[in-house]
Amino acid sequence: MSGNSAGSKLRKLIADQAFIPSMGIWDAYSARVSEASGIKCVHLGGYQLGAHYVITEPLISLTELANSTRYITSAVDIPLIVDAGAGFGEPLHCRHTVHEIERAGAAGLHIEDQIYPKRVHYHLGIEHVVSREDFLDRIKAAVDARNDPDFLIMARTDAMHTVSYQEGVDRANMCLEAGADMIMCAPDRQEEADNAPKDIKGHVAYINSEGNKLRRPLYSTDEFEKTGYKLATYPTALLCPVTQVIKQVVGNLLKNGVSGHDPEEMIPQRKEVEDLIGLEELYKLESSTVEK
Amino acid sequence: MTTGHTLKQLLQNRQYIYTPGIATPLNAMIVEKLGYEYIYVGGYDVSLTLLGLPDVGLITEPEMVTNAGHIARAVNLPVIVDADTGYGNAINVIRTVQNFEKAGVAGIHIEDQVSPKRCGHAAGKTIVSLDEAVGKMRAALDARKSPDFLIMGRTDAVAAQGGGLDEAVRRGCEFAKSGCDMVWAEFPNTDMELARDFAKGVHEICPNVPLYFNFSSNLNWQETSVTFDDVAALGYKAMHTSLAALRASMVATWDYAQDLKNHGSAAEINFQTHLKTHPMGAFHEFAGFAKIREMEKKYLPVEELEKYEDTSGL
Repeated sequence: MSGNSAGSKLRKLIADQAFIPSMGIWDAYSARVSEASGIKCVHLGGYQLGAHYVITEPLISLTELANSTRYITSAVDIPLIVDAGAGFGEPLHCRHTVHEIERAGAAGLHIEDQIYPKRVHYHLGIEHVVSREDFLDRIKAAVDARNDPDFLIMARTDAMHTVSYQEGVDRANMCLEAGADMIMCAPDRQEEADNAPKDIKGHVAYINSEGNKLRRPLYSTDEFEKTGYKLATYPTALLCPVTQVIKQVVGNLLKNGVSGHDPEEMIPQRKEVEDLIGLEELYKLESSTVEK
Repeated sequence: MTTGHTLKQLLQNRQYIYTPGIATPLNAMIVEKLGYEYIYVGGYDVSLTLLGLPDVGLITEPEMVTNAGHIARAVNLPVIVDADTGYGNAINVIRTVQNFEKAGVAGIHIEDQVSPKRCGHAAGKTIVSLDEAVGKMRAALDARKSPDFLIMGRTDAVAAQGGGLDEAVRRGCEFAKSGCDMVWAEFPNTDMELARDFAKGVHEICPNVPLYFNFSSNLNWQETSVTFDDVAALGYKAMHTSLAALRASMVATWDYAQDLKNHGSAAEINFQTHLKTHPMGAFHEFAGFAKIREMEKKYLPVEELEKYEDTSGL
C-alpha cells in the first residue's frame, strides 16, 4: 500500500476487515447517503447504472461510466469499485477502460468474461462468455494498464453459469495467476457458493443478488465471513426499495391529493438531505463573502 | 426543412458533391465559409484531434455525438458523421441513431466491421455476417425519427478477412434493398477497376442507390491521375478527402511551432504579417464577436453596455 489513493484505501480495508459489504449505488447521492450511514465501500454496478440512465447496462458507454464514476468519487471518501462490464472490447479497450476509470478516482474495477457488446439477455440469466485465452488477455491488459499499483483489478467470471462450476473456478485461478487482485463470481447452487472461496486461491467477491430469478444463494455478512468471502456487492438492495418508495408516494399523491408525509417529520428529514449535500458549509462561505 | 432533406436534395440535383473531411466545429466553419455544400466528420479525425487516440474503436458514442452536435450547431450545412460500427450490435445502433439525429446532424454511416473496429485502411479487419450487418442497417432505419435523416451503409468487405469485391457488391445491394439512403465501400488501393466493378455491380441490381466514395488520404493518389470527375463518372455521387483538416492543421501547427522554436518572437511577427493578407486573418470577426456586440445592443440594458466605454480589447 503505497499511499492515500482510492486503491490504497480499498487495500487497507481488505487488510483490516475479514469481510467487506460493498453497497450497490448508482449516483453521487446514493453513494453519499450510503457513506453517511456507515458503509465503508460502495459499488457502481452496471445493473444499477443501466437503470439509472434507463438504457440498460449493455448500452452504457465508457464515457457515461467514467462520468458517473467522477461524480461519485467527488462525493464520497470511501473507496468505489466500478463494474466495467466486459471491458468495452478487446485488451486494447480494457486498457483504456482502466486508464479512464482509475483517472476518474475509483479504487478498482471488475472486468468479466461476457462477450462484448453485452446483450440485454444477461438480465434473463443468459450470458455468453469469451474463451479462456481472450478473458486472460483482457485481465492481463487491465493489470498492466493501472497507474497506481494499488488500483484493484477484479476479474469476474460468468462461466460457472454458462459452462460449469469447475470452468469458473479454473478461470478464476488463471486470472489470479495473471495478476488479478480479486475474483468475482456468481455460483448458481448453494454447495458451489459455499465451496467457491475454498476452490479459488485468492480473495473472492460475491454478487448478493437479491431478487434474482435463478434464486442464487444469499448470505448475511456473518455468513459471508464464515464462508470465506472477502467482499460482496448488493446490486438490488437499494434500487428495488427506492423504486417502491417512489411508486408509493406518487400513488398517494394521485389518489389522496397529498404525498402522505407527516409535515413535522419532514422538517428534520429535509434538514438531513441538506446536511448530506453539504449546504451548511456553503452557507458559511457565502456568509463570509457575498452575503456579509 | 432538416439538413437531412437539404443533403438528399443536393444528392439529387448535383452531378456530384465533395468536401474535405474534418473533425471540429472550427474546421466545419472554415469549410462552410469556402462555399462547400456539406460537412464530413471522420472517426479517425475526431479520435486523434479530440482525444489524442488512434482510430481503433476507443472513442465512444457520446464523445462522437457531443462533438457532432457542436459541429451541427456551428454551421448551416448538412453534416455527415462517421458512426463506426454503430458502437456495438444492432441494439447499440438504435441508440446511436437516436442520439446523432437528436444532435442535429444530417446523417451517419454505419459499417459492417466487427465491433470494436479498426480504421478502414488498417490491416486485420474482420466483418460481421451479412445477416448481422443487414440487421444493423434495419435497426438504424427503424430508429430514425425523420425519413430525411440519412443512413449510409458502409461495407469494409473488399479488404476484410473472408470478404472480397463480390461480397462487397452483395452487401452493398442488401444495404440498399434494406432501405439505406446511400452505400459506400472501402477500397484498399487506388485501383479504379475495383471502384468501377463495385458501382457497376450494385447499380445493376439497385440502379437508384447513390454511392459514396472515400478519396482516402491513406491511398497514394499522387501515383495516379484519378480526378473527382473520374470517380463521379463511375457512378459515385459524393466523396470526401479523408483526414483533410487533421493533416492540414497538423502541418500548419508543426510549421508554426518549429519556426517559433527556431526564431522566437521573429516567427510570431512573420506569422502576423502572413495573416494580414490571409483570408483567415480576420478571425476575430470570423469567430463572431461583432455579432455578439450587435445582439448586446439589441437585448441588453443601456447601462450594461457602458462597460465598453474606455476599455480596449476585441
